[in-house]
Amino acid sequence: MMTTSPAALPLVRLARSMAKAYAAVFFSHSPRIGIWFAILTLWTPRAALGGLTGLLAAMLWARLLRLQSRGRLHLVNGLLCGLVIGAHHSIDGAYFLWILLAALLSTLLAHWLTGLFWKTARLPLLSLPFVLSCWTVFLAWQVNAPSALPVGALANDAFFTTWPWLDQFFVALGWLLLIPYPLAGALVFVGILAASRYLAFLAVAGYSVGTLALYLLGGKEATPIAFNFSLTAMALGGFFAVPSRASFLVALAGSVLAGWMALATEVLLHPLHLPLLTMPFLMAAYLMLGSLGARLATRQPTLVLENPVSPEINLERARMAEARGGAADSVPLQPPFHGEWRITQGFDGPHTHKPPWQHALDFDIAEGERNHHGNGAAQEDYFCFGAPVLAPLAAQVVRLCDDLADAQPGEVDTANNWGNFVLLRSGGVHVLLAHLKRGSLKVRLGEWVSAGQVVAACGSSGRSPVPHLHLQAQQDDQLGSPTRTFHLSNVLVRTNNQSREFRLFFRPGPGEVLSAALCEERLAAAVRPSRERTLAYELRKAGGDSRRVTLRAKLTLLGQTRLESSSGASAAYEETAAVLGFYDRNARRDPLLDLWLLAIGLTPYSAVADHWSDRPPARLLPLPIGQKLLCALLQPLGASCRSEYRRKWDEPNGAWLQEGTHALRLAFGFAWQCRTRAWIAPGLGVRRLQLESSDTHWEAELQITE
Amino acid sequence: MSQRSPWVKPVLTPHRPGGMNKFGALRPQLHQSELDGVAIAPLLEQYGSPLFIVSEGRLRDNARHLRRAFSTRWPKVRHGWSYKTNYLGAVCSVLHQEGAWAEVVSELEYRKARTLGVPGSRIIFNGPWKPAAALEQAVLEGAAIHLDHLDELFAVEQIAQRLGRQVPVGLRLNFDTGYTEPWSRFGFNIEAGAAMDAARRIGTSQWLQLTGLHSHIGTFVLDVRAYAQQARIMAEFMEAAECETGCRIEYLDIGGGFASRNALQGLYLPPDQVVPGFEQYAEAIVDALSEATRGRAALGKPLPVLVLETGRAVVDDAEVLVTRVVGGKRLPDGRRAAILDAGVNLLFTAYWYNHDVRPLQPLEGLAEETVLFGPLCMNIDTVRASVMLPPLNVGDALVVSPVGAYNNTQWMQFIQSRPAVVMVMGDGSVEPIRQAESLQTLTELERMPNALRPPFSDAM
Repeated sequence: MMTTSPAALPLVRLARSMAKAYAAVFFSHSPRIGIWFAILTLWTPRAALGGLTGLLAAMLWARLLRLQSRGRLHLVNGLLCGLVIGAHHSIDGAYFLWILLAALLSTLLAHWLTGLFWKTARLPLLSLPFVLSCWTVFLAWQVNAPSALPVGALANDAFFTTWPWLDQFFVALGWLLLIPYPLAGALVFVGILAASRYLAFLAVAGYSVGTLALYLLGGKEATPIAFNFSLTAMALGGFFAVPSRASFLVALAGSVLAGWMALATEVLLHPLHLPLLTMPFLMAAYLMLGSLGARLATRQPTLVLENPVSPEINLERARMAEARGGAADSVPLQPPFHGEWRITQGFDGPHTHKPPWQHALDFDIAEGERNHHGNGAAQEDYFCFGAPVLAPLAAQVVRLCDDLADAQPGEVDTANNWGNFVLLRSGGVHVLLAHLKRGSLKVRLGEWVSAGQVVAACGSSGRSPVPHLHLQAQQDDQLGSPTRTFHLSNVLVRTNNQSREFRLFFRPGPGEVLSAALCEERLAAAVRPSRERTLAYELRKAGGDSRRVTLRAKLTLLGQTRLESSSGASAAYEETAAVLGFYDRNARRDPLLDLWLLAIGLTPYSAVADHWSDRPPARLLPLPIGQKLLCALLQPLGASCRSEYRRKWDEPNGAWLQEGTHALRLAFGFAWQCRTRAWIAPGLGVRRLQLESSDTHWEAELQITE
Repeated sequence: MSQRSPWVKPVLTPHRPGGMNKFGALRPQLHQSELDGVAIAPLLEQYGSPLFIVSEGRLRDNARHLRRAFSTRWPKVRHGWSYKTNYLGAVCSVLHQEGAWAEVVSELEYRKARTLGVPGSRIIFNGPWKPAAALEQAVLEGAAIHLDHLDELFAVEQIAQRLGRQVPVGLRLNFDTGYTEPWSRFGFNIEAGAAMDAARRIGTSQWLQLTGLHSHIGTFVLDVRAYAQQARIMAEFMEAAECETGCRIEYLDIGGGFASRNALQGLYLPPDQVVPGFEQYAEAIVDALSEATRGRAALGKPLPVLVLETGRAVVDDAEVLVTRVVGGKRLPDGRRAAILDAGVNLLFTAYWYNHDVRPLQPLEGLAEETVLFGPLCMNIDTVRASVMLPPLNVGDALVVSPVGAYNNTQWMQFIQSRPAVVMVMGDGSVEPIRQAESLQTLTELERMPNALRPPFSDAM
């Protein structure tokens, strides 16, 4: 967030937009990297002028035609058109005319095809408009040959390093910006390296594999188009996918594919005198992203087509999503009861939870080992018999049965396996609650129920030897339909006698005792960031002087809630009825916000929850410089630390004391640990924050103004 | 060779007359020789007679049963252990371990709860007299203070003003449910408008904040409809008060009064048939409350916490009193009578209950109507006016139950000292939880003016 005076704002915004278009050529969002690339294009001034013209022309066309294009895709395509045409044409009137026309065509194509690609195939359009526009220009030139210069004249053989292979790689990278010189390419590579170490690594890996494939398939020297292999690997391995072993393999496979495509399309295009441009990359990327995107979302590699950022951030988000949200294809359900219930049979249970009904949970109520009074001969002896059963999600009642008798303990009704039941449907999700008490249903067919609404009472009808509740998610609205995987969200799990662990997602096993995590209003009100109130903290580091830092909640244009510090640092947060969670910390340094995020990062609103865990990114930790370097070296993709939280009521201070232990385990036994404490005072807020490690101590005190 | 039958030890089987008669089978000869698997007779030897025995297991079971019945029906439930029912430290601590808050009605009880380690923020402070010092302590420690009258309201307001902080308070309400006798001496009356006046007064005060409502409709209430009506009226008042004063009610405290499995005098049916279970109370209360708060969720207002102050129904059957027969006689009207070493000095509740009385050992002889008198030199000291028991001999022990509620708080020191109380722990061990009193207990607080010391005159 640059701070600028309002008058300079449109110009700055224009410059930033242009810089970002340059950066986007190599999948970066950073304006600084963009400026670096823009300067590098000046190596070939003719192409550089063309690029700048194309970029401005695209901007102009979009403005003139009132094309409401979101994003910068038309700018990148205009820039690339300009670079290529500029490199092929001597500077005269026609030079600008062709660039203007190509920019118009690519802008129109970008605007038209972006939505089409996304809606029909969930594919990003990438640089297809650039390729199509340039081809159109080149085809036109065959009728009316311009005073074109052979583009090959650009290249020279001045070696930069002592390894020809490395030089060729740099030249290949340079070709995309039409600066095919070893030194220029090396500087482009430095830019990529600064943007993302992992993207740089992928660029090298993709180049090596792609050229090798091309060579093995019998292709000739391919330096002018070899950037395709790097681009493919960067897109598939890190930009549009969460970095992982699987996505790396996909990236390499994509580069091989790009090599093959280069060979094949070359044969096709050669008679037409058309250059390949980024066509091999586009074909490989479309193939891979299209086919992988059509699978279930949860398989590796995980694609991030919606909002790709950088491999490092993609990975950080994925790590946090995994730590907090569990598997993405699992249906989240609320516990279908009040109070504490026990699991008697979990997923893949030994009795009846066999495929295709393996995803099911059986519940009853127990005190210790006992689930009934007396000798358990009557249904009423069982603690759970007659207890209300709640809807686990907001849904419509699509099927029900209410008139089967409850079997006596020990007996089962195998003619009506499910007994009395309620089948709920919400979107494509069907949820069955079975073995309900006869005559206890409080809902009618077709009725919409809200999550947590009482729908019936626990009974013992159907195949139920003792009273219990059966819950499953299934594929359609038929009884006996195959089940699908689900989990319970926002639950408290009783770990030993009195202690309760908060779990955002939980798939319980037999014998586990759990209840729904409920919101304690006073706790929630004290932690919840407020847009009306600025939190002013006096931040003090041990041995240093104190300074005042303020935090304030804000709502972004796209509706994201963020907590922003007076330094401009911010992090997004999301609040549900049961929990407050922070994520997506931006890059600006701010020790107070880091301290807040470590101490409060994941805070359940249940006052009964006394411990839980989270995986915040390790960059929040105030690591000493040596450890920071070590971390960057050992975990180049960033790491998350293991945070264990405990909370109890601190009577003398009249506040909840939330303690976190954050451990970062680097390889070879290098570990670093710190402790945070937050005092959450009802009616006041997070009154005090503290961070302690072996080498640092931070403390922040809330300044209460009124 | 013929085989010999094995030798069998000879057995004498007593011939019990009256086994069958025209009224059906004989009531089985009931006796109770152990509690939770622990033999009572050795305890009586060790700790002396009479002896109170508390069952930790039963106490915990009851507390969990209560919590289970309500927490499986209403999302947020809180149990405030009613100290006045039985404030033996060990009993309170068992219930605090089970998650109960302390519900106290006097400064003494408040201090006792604090001594037991209950934080002020987990104390519900009721009662018609809360001395200024106790009120200030309660405010400072964040206890839930339930105002009983306007003078108390002003007192808390003054304290809050002096301390410069806003104090959350609850209002005790009284009203007519149509089922029970209204207890109009406690709290503010709804029908007469006093309750809403008080709510408005709190609403206009910058030092007070109305966060809870409390009422207690009676004791040993057998009709669950009374509670349903209470819940309805309180929920209505909550909506009205929130609407009028802009406050946010966080909890509804419905007090106590659930009946225990004890036989109230004058009731024909046995307790097993007339006393509702926790589930029945819970269902009636929660159904009414759900109905009355239906609109709340849609308005984004959280459901109130349901607070219970159940005492009697939790502790009553977790304690027995063992007493010995010290003598017998035949009354002029022909009834048999026995004199016990425990009377209404220890069994205050004998005034309104017909306690279950069973011999410690099976006794021989025909049961006949018997009167059980206590040791007091008072005509009213009758433990049971009429109970069918076999002939009792001196030294025979009787087990009186259930006695957990009110007897250990209302017991008297009239001419007798109070006996020991022991607890049968969950693991089967036995722990003394209150020593037997001695003469010293009686006299140690007394001070003798020098002029009154012996020698005494023998002049008459």
